[in-house]
Amino acid sequence: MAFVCFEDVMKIYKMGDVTIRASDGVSFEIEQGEFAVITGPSGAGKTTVLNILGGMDVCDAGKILVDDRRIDQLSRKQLVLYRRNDVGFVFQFYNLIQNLTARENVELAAQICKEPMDPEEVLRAVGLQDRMDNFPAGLSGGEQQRVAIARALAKRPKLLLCDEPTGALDYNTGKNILQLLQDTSRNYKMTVIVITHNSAITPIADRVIRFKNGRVQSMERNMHPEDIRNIEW
Amino acid sequence: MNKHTHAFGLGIWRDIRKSLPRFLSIFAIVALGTGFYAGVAASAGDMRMTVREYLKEQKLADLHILSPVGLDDEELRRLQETDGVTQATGAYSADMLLEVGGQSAVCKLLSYDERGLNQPYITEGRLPQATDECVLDNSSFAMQNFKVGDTIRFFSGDDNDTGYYLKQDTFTVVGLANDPRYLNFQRGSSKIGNGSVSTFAVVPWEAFAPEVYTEAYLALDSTQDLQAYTDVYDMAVEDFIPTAEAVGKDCVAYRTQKIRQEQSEELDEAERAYNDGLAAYQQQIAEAQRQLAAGEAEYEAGAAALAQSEKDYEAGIAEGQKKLEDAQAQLIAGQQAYDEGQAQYNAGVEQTQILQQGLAQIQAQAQGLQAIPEELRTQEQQALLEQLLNRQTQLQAQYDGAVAALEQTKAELEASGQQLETAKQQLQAGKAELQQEKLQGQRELEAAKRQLADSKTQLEQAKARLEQTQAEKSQELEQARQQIEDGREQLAELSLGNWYIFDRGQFQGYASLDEDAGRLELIAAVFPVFFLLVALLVCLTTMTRMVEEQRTEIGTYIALGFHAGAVVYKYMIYGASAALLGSVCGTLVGMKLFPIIIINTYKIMHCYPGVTAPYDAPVMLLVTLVAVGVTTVAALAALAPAMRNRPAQLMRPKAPKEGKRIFLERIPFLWKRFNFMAKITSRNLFRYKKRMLMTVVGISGCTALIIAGFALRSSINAIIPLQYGEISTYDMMTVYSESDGVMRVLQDSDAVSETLRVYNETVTVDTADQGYQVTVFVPEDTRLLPEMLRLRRYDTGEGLSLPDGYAVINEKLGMLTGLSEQDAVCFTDEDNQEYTVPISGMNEQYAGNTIYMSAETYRHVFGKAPAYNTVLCIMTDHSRQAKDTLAAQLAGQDGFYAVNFSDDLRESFADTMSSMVYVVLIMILMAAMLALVVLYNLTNINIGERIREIATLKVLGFKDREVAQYVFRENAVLTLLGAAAGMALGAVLHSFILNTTEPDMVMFYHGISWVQFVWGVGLTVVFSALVSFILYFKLKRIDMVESLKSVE
Repeated sequence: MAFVCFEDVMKIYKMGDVTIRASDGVSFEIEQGEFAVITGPSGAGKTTVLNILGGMDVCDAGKILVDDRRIDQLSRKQLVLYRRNDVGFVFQFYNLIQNLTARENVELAAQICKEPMDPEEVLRAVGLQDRMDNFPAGLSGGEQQRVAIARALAKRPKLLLCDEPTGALDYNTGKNILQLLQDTSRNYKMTVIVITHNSAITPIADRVIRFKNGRVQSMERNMHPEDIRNIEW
Repeated sequence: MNKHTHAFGLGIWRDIRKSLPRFLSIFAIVALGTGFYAGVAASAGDMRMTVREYLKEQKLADLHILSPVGLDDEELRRLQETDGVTQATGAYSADMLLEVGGQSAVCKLLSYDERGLNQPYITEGRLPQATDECVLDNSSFAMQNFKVGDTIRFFSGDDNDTGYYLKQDTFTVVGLANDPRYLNFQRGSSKIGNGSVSTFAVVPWEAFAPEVYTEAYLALDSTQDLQAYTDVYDMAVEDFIPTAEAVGKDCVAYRTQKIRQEQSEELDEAERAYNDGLAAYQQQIAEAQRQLAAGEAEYEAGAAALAQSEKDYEAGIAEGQKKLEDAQAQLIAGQQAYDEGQAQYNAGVEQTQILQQGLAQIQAQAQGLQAIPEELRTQEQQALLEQLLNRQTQLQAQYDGAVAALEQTKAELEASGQQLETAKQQLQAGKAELQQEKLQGQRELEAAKRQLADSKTQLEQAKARLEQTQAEKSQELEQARQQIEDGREQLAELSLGNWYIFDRGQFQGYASLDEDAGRLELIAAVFPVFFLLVALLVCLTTMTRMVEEQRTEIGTYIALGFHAGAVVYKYMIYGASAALLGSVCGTLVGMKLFPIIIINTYKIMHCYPGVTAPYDAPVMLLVTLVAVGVTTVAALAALAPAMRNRPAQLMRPKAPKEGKRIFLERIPFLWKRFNFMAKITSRNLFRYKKRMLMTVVGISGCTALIIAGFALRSSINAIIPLQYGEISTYDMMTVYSESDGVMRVLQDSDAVSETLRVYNETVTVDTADQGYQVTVFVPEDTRLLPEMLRLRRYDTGEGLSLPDGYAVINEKLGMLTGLSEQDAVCFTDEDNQEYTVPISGMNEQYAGNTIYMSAETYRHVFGKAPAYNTVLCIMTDHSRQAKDTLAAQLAGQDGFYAVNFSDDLRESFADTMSSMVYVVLIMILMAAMLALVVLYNLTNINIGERIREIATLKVLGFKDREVAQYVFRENAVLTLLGAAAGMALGAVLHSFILNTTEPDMVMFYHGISWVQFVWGVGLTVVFSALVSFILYFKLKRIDMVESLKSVE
């Protein structure tokens, strides 16, 4: 059994008379420690899947397993604990707490975990050793995203979920962030799942899942992922 | 633009639907604020309006005219014909006594004229029709003691007979009524009874006895279309007063003339009577003197006769005595003669015996010789015998003669002895007779003497009587003469004085109602304004927040090519429609609800029927304009910076406010001690300074309102236990005049343990603006006073004594008049005599205004001894039965007026105060509601503002409880800060409201206790917790996906 396993997952939004099948029978698998990229056009249901996988949303039907645990069957409270202990999230717009310094943002996440990483250490690991006491507003986009990654990592999650982490960043910064995520996966043996609409970056992934119209169009393993530095788009 | 408008309209409608809670919260807060403000603000006006309509309906007079000599029909005709007078009604009034439960109460009798002014407002039964029917005061006093159908009897309370005032004294109660002349439950003072009127009764004017009206009431043309309690009305009445005074002068002149004529005739009559009297008197005196003289002469004659008869008596007695003495002498002579005769007789007997012896000798000789025969004899012997025989014959003859003479003498002697015996007896009888006569005569004389003495006394008495009568009569006559003379003199300089012309201010409660309304206005000017401000502040915050939340949408509209104005318009419409709806609903409900509640509660102190609470369009419009204005201005203000941005910028999320280090972090000592959450909370607090300030101000406002409300309530409530529990500790007060019986009953009663006599007098203390009715209180014994009434300083509670030459006044009087220790209080008594006493201290007192002084000081100041008219008592038995028994005993005493038990006073005072308490309770309730809404709104805004932050926390795996803590810790701190600020604000608000609403006769307790702070802070905290509890579920429902997606 794979580390992450989606089986025929359905998510339907009803807006008035319109029914939107955001996930229309999604099935895929990701192995532990893989750096997976989910790609596809806007509205293909990538984010929906990520939200469900991250415990932020629930599916209407289907089976989801993470580390042999049925996520789809968790109660609200169990979902909170799941998010708390097993999942790290990185968003396009970082979602840092503006009123907390970089270090504090990491501490915020760390202080609710059982065995958190040392916040300073994580921040050093993401290359922010000199910017720890800065507020988000005083950091560049890339630096902010690094803080967000550090915050997610500090919890030692089983899964690191990233929703368009480079979407708001310039090319080079985006590359650096992807590098960081790839390194993280490698260094910490962490399962990292990145959503992007930019299919150009798929070569760097261990696994690529393509979405279209709420379904998985294809899923392939990449036995020899490229280094991010060698990718241009 | 038209097309736009349609899309826009839909947009607004959608906005409202989408953000219904926010729309509703603006609506609710505006409704609460405007409703409360408009309602409370309208209450004072509505109160006046209600009264105004009542006064108009009952035709309350504009002016009340009193003439010292009353007014006759001619005067009324003149008044009626005066320009500007719509109606002039002659009326009567009289203060009479009414016996109620063994006590006499003063009842003011008012005349009823169905065509006249001042119509009573019947609350039960009907108006009087027959002259023996009356309508009674619809106050608790009358209601407690009488009911419709009862018969009541009035007594005169002064020297005049009941008939002087009324044609009959017994009336049937046919109804209960309010009178427009009495707008509160004060019935005024009286010159009779216990000095204060307990109730009034309205009887048909025909039932009054006097020939002239005692007073007149006027309605003026100029006020027909004017409203009472307005300056124009007051001015119109004031303008007429000189006219009325002029009419008064004419009328007084006319009456003077009339009275002069009448009295002059009366005086002439009196003089005639005097002259007649004088003549009669003189005649009477002359007659009496003549009679006296006759009596005197008679007496003299009697005295002379007595003297004569005394003399006669003396003479008679002397004569009798003399006769007796003669008889005695005769008797003695007779005795002597008898004795002599006896002696002679005895001598005769002796002689006879001698003769007998001689004879015997001779015989013996003769016989011897004879014995010698004749022849033997010698011649000599014969011769001798012969001789002897001769001799014997001679001697025999002699002896026989002597015996015969002796026999005769003896017979004579015996006769004379008998005679002598008779004479002796006669003398004895004569003596006894004389004695008898003497006694008789003496008795007779003495009787005559007594008679004479009696007649002398009678004569003297008659004389004295005459003298007295003469003195009296002449004095009487002199007085009569003097009176006539004085009368003539007075008549010569006759002055009836002027009319007393009073405006409505003199009617009970007319002015105080205005003052009460004024106080209510002040409460309305402070409390609801504050309330409205807090509401609008929160409304403003809400609007600002809304615009900020929707900047993306704004950007979209502008990017789509909408004019900035159209966008502004949209938000203005949103805010304005919420405010408009809220204000319309709020004012519609508030302007009915609050005036009705408030006026009805104030009616505990006022008496008039009904409540008029019309909608006041201008106020509603104004309030609505303010509410709508504030929300639209808030929208504008929030939009203005947004409008300066380019659409693209707008469409991005507003760069969240930068994080900043706060000053606390510069105090590592403190900062290090904070745990992580505490650090976050403190930094968040200072992050949105504006919001923090608004929240603190909003919460402090609510806390302040609640504290002020509770403190106000306790300020009013506290005075009852203070006044009647700590200060006035006597149990009973008895009012009397010059009666020993009352004191005796009290001293003998087992239920009474201590008594203290006190003199009470009402005086007036004038200030620049106003005169205050103040009681002068003079205890007979200042040592006993502390047991009955504790005089202590208001500030320190230190006991006060009544030093000679000084007075103690109560704190409130000091506040009213601006007097303090070292000043002197100046006051005037009923006769307008002015007195001044230096003040030695000011005492704590909550009810009434009093000047305390010792009897010594009173004597010194007034120049007379206090005429004690009140007794304060401590009772040992507080049972109703004991009180009733005592009251009944007292009622039987002459000079007894009234008895008041402190327990009853406390109750009635508590009743009076309860109306204020109700109003305050409304305030508290409203403040509590406001606090709830404000806290809800502010917290809601807080959550809305930070929804991404909250969603992030949730994504990070914060449990619901942890998320709630993260948000509500801030709220808790803000609530505590607000509550703390509210404590200070509440104290200020409380003190301000107290100072503006305190009646003259009452001092509220100005202190504020921790209990009120606990209430204020406690309720705020409870509401805050409640709001947190409600919003906890909202937090729980926050959808992470939605919240974080919104930026895309």
